[in-house]
Parts: sequence; structure tokens; C-alpha cells
Amino acid sequence: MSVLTISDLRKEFGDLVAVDDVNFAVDDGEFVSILGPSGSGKSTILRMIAGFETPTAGTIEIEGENVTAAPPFDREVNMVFQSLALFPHLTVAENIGYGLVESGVPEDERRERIAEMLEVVELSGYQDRNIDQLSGGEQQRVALARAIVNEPKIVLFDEPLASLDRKLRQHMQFELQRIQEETGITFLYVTHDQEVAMAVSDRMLVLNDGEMEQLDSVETIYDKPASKFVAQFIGDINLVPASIVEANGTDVTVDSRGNRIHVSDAAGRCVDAVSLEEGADVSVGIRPTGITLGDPDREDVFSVRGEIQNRGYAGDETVYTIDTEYGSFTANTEDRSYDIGDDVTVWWPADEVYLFAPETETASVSDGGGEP
Amino acid sequence: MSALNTLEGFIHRHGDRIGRGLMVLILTLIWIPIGVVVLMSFAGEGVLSFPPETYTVRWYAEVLNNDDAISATLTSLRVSLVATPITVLISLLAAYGVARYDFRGKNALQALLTLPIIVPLVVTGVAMTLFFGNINLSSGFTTVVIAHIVRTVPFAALIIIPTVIGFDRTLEEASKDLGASELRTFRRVTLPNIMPGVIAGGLLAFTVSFNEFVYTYFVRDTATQTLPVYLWGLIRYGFSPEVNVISVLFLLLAAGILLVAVSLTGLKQVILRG
Repeated sequence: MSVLTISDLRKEFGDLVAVDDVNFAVDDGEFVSILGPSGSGKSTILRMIAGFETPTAGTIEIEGENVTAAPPFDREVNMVFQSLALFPHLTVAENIGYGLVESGVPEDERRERIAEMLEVVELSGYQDRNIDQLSGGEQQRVALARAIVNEPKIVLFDEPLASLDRKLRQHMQFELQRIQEETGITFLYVTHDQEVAMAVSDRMLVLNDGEMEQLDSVETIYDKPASKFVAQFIGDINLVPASIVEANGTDVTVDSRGNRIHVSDAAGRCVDAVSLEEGADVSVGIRPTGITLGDPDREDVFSVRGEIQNRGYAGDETVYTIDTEYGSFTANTEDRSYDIGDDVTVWWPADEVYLFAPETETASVSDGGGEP
Repeated sequence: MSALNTLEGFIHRHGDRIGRGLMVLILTLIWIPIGVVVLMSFAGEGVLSFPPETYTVRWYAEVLNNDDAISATLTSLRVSLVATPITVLISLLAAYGVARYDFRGKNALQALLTLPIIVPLVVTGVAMTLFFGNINLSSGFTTVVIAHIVRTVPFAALIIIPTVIGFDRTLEEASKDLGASELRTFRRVTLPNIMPGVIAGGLLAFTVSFNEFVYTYFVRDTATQTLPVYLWGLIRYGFSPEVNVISVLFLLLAAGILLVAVSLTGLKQVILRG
């Protein structure tokens, strides 16, 4: 059963449409991320679910009950704020127990539940500390504990990890997953950081300009993006302008400046509505991870010559920026043998190709990454 | 130019000495007269000789046994204790309006609330006297209280408005999110967090009100004699040792309020949790 059902949700601020007819449902115990660039309306959706904003149209149901007009204090959801919003005048225990006091939990039980919760977030014995005595990571845990201790139907996260450094953020991601599994509470996590979203969630909802682009599992969104926006926002993609020179149903050959590749399952590789007629213009997209450097070891690949402009390390992989006749390409590979200035062949097989509607500009695009 | 350069060079070389000298001068001008008043309040010969040859607390006893002085002190306390809470309430409401709502003339309101600090006191004094006359409000306790509110609101607003504006409203959202109603949120989160600023504003208002003389002199009747007005009356008929004693009492009150303010902010954590 869906713990949360959002129907035709719309929010206008004056002339601005912040959220435009959004529909989705979240199952009990799921970890769902709402991902989008800043200004895409993701925080507005979260604030409407929490009750801080009133939708212009549409309904919000929590466990089948329509709460669209209910005030924040009458909803069984709790939020972890971007600024954390811990109460500076209260201790750790008083912060965590705040909601329990409001719901009339007796003091003994309160003390017990606060202690249990501190154990879950690995802050045992921190009851009497002041908030300003805690590190950033510890404050995150208190904020999380304060939300979870009330056993809400859903915990809403408004990018609370954005302020942490990378290492701590990654650690907190694992902690979030662990705590979510332990408690079984549904988590709805808003972020602009695709890395965080991909790491923690079961499903992701990608938003652009207030509209839903795609709601799917992390794997599906990466492998089968529903639009060019999704393809560019979730992981990088290199684009090459091309046209279809032969077409037999979904078995097509695309050509770009004499460089040809044969795609046998073109329908399954299409991201946008692409015409597969002979002579139609398309954009060929390729993930940086689908690129191999060096001489092709098979037939029927798309290959381009280029010069290494830059290289950087990302864990096990090396990220190369390669200057080609199509502009700048990004390639992620385990191959570390190239240096800046080396001439190299860049290639990819047909099963790594995506087909997009043609671009108006000719240069390739590879800057769709996570940072806004 | 060369004269300026010479001067600049001189200041550059002797800047620290000039600064120190100025500081000593300022401190002297401010504190020596006060020190003299304190010293003289214990003078055995009254106001006749300086420095005093003998010391006594006789003048203190005299003030404490003087019905007029006691009555003036009580009048001052009554006026200040009525005016201060009203001033704090007005400042708090204005602060809420400025912090929470968008309306035309919002900046003007903020300026108009605090600017009267620089309006010459006699101007407002005359204006209030005329106004009270026009609306047939006879001079007395009420007009004095109103005058004190007019005088103290700018000071209280100066402290309370930034406090309320600086309060992070996300904390209120967090409170409501955790199940607290609007009223509970105000009591459990808003009030404790703005309390130090409100108390500081109130203490300042009380101090200003307790020392207020000019407005009071304009709008009072003879029955409403506050301590500063009583003091003024004493001075008119020549210096008496009582004047020094009352001055010291004012000083003690100001110091006491300062101590209260400091301890309140120091004990903030304890008080706010209560």
C-alpha cells in the first residue's frame, strides 16, 4: 500500500509555476529521492507534504487520508531540515524528546525512547549536551533522531547532508540507509546531488522546472533515461550529431561525418521521441563509462581521434577530457596509461549508444553533472 | 600640503600616545564628576568643602527618612513599572510586524520607531503638552506614563526588532513539524529564543524611563513628582547633600540593572529551559 500519494500537485508563486502537475506514490518502507537542479521545485514539493506550503491544486494523501489542508502539526511526517533547525536553547535529549512531549508520551517512556534513539544514531550518552557543543556530523544525527523518534509514516529530508564534506557525507549516506533498514520508516529525500541520490535511494524522481521527468529505480534511470534532461543530469553524456542513413524498422545505421555505426535495437536505445526514418537527424549519446580509449578490438564501433586535454582521478577510474572534432569528450575508464597531450582513438560499441532528438547546436554536451 | 603631511607624520609617529592621552581625558571628564558626587554623598560637612574632612552616612539616613524623597521614588517606580511592559509589548508587536509581514512603508515604520531618539526632547515635550491639552487629557499620572512610553519605545525597539528579525523561523517550522500548535510553538521555541533580547530591551526602557526628566516636566501635574523632578526641585534651592545621595542611588540602580542584564544573559541557558 502506498504510504504517500501525490495527485496532480501544483504550486504557483505569483506568476511562477514552481510545481506543475506532479503525480507519484511512495510505498511503505521505500527510500525515494527527489532529484533536480535548484529551482526545479523539489523543496516546494517536500514543504507541501510537510504542510508548510499550501498547494495551488492537487491532493496529498498519507496512508489514504487526504492531508492537503492539514496544518504541519497534524501530519504524521517529520522533516530533517537543510539547516537542521535544532533548538539551540534545548539539550540533545530535549531536542529529540520535543515531539514526544507534544504527543503526550510520559516522561519515563520518553527517556527510554530518547536513549534508544541515541543508540541508533550512535550518540549514546549525549543526552545532556548542548547543541553548540556538537560537531556537524553529530548535529545531523540528532536532527535525524528527533524526526525518527516520533515513528512518523514518512521522514522528509531537505538536503541535510549538503553542508558536510565529502567523506562525512558518504558516511552519513550509509548511516541513513542502515537506519532506514532498521526502522523500516519511509524516507523521502530531496537533493540536487545525483551522487547522493544514486547512493541511497531505491527509486528516484527526477524533476525539471517543476515537472516530473522520470520516476524509476536508480539503475533504470541511469540505463534508460526518459529524456535528454535526465540523461544529462544523472551522469554525464557525450553527444555527437548524426543522421540515419539506413533504416529497416528498428535496425538502423547512423552516420556522422562518414563515421558509421549499426544499431540493431534502435527503438530500445531511443531516449526522446526520435524519428527512425532514413535521412532523419539524431544525436548519438554516449556515457563517459561506455567509452574505451585505444584501438578498437571489434568491428562496428564508432570511433573518433582526439587529444587528451586533461586527466583526473575518481577512485578506481581515471576521467579524461579529450578534444575531438565534435568538441570536448569525457571518458571514465580504468585505463591510466594516457597522458595529457597524447593522441588517442576514442571508441564505443553500438550497445552503449543512446539516440536523442537532434541538437540545435553542433557541439557536444558533457556538463550535465550534479553541481547546479 | 606639507603642513598636512607633517601633521600626518606626527600622528603616525605619536598616534598611540595621542590615543592614550585622549582616552584618559575622556575617562576623566566622564568619571571624575561622578566620583566627586559619590565621595560628597559621604561628606561629613555636607556640601561645604572638598575634599571632605570627615565621612558619614547621615545623609543617606536623612533621604530614607524624607517622605518627599520616598514618595518621589515610589512615583518613579510606579510610572516605570507601568510604562515598561507596555513599551515592550508595543516594540514586540512592531518587531513581529516588521519581521514577518511585507507591507508598504515597512522600512519607514522601522525608521520612524527608532528615529525619535534624535528628536530634541523639548520639541516632543511641547507637542505632547499641546496634544494632551487638545484632547482634554489632564496632566497627571496617565500623561506621564504615556510620555514615558513615547520616550522609551525607540530604545526598546532598537534592541527588540533586530532580535525578532534575527530569530530563525525554521525553528518554528521544526516545532510545528514535531506536532506543536502555533501557541505551543510560541511558548516552547519562539519566546525562549527571543527572551534575552526582549529582557534587554525592557531593562533599557526601564532605565531610560526611570531617568526621564524633560517629557515628565512638560506633562506632569504637581502631584506626580518623579525622582528626577524631585531632584531638580532640590537643586533649584541650592545644593544639599541629599542631591548627592539621590544621584548615588540612581547610579546604584543603573549598576543593578546592568548586573541583572549580565546575569540574565549568563544564566540564559538555565532560565530558558525552565
